[in-house]
Amino acid sequence: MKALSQPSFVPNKRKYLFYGDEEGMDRLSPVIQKVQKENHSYQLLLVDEKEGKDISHWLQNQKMGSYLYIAVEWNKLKHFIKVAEDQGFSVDEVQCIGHGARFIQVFCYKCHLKTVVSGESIKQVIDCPNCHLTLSVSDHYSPLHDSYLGNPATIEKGSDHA
Amino acid sequence: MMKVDSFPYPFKGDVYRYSNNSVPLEEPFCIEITSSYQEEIKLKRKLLSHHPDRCFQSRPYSLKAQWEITELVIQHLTQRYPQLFSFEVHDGEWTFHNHILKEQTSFIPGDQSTLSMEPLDFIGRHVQEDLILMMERDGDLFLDAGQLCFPANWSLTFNTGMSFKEIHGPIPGFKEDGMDQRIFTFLMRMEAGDPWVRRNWSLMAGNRLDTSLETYDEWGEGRSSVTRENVGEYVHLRVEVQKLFRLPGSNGLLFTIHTHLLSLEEFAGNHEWADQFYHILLELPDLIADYKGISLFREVVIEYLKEKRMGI
Repeated sequence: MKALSQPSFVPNKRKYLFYGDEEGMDRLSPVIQKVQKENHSYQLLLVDEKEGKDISHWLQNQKMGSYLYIAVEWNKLKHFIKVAEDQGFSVDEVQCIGHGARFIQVFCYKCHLKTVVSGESIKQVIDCPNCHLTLSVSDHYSPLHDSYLGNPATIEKGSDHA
Repeated sequence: MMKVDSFPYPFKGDVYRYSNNSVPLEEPFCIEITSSYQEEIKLKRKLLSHHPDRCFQSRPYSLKAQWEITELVIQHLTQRYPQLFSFEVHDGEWTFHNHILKEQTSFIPGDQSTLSMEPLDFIGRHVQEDLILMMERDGDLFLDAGQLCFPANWSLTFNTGMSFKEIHGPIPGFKEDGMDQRIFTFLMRMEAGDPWVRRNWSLMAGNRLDTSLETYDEWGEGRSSVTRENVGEYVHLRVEVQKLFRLPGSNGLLFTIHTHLLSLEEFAGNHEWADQFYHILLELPDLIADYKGISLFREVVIEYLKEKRMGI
């Protein structure tokens, strides 16, 4: 599931589910207001920082056709995406909104080491700490590796398999 | 060395754009044996031995489809080249004979314990083609297994597990004009028994078959070494013949990719080819030239073809 910075409204859903922390709910507010204005069925659940509420049960009880928004800090998104997937939500049924400091992994084209860097590094260059090559961080993302491809910094462009 | 008269000329018309250029495959075989068979198989096996993770990847649930590919490739090898390959079946056990390499292997299809490696990895060591398996699930296609020794500047390790659209995301203009959706729809509609073929091309400095992304630092710099003096011998047209088969058992898609290289000098010996390719390169948008990695030496090639097409 791809994570975004801002939410977008997806029409014609049976029910809208909003799960997030305070900052996340602020980000979701335009969508929430639209849902309320158009009288769609919806439910809000605020992240409980102290109790660390398990949302599995809540998700499990939702009916098919529900659409889920998750809006939390970037570094917590992965956990909640996994919970949603485990409860049977597909890629097309969830929208993930991140906020705060973001970190990404960069996959070295040469040695395949994954390096954690700031999310601002896309389209920038970094050095691979293992093979010491300069990598140009692309926006080519692998869900399996949860990484962005680090290309040779001198490469003209990407691969040619089309 | 590639013979000019058997080189798979990839162009139609004087203009090139990314497109779904697949056509029905007339001879329904997923493999082809050429005169460089032994040389290329030796190189393949060396690469697989030294760089197993780079050259072979598979998802755990791809085994059934891998067996299906193995059986398909063996059937095609033995039907098309009965003097070179054969197999026999006794009590459910297959014995596959490669008479070129004087090798024989026995196994029970579907029984992983009877092979020393995964089935796709095994059968890939007997054919010149790279083998890619895309599996269909949740209405999408995913690269779930592959044996790839001769890639055109991409990484099998990185791309494994990706969907069709994720893999092709970096191609300029591929998404913007809906090309990705059109080709995806075409692939999803492919049926067993109706294979297709397409030809993909690029130009490269040098004649390496192994141009994996992982080895870019070994061959990429050659692009800046092309001169008017060496362009004919040094630059090669690289053509991938990609054959597409729907697998009836697993509903996956098999892509076999046979890579051919021909020096520009040999290529331009055919003046019609030289003339058409000259016009294509002259008109080729910069974005495509960049993506194909030919921008650094395109002008030198154009000048060379300009002379050759006139028979100079």
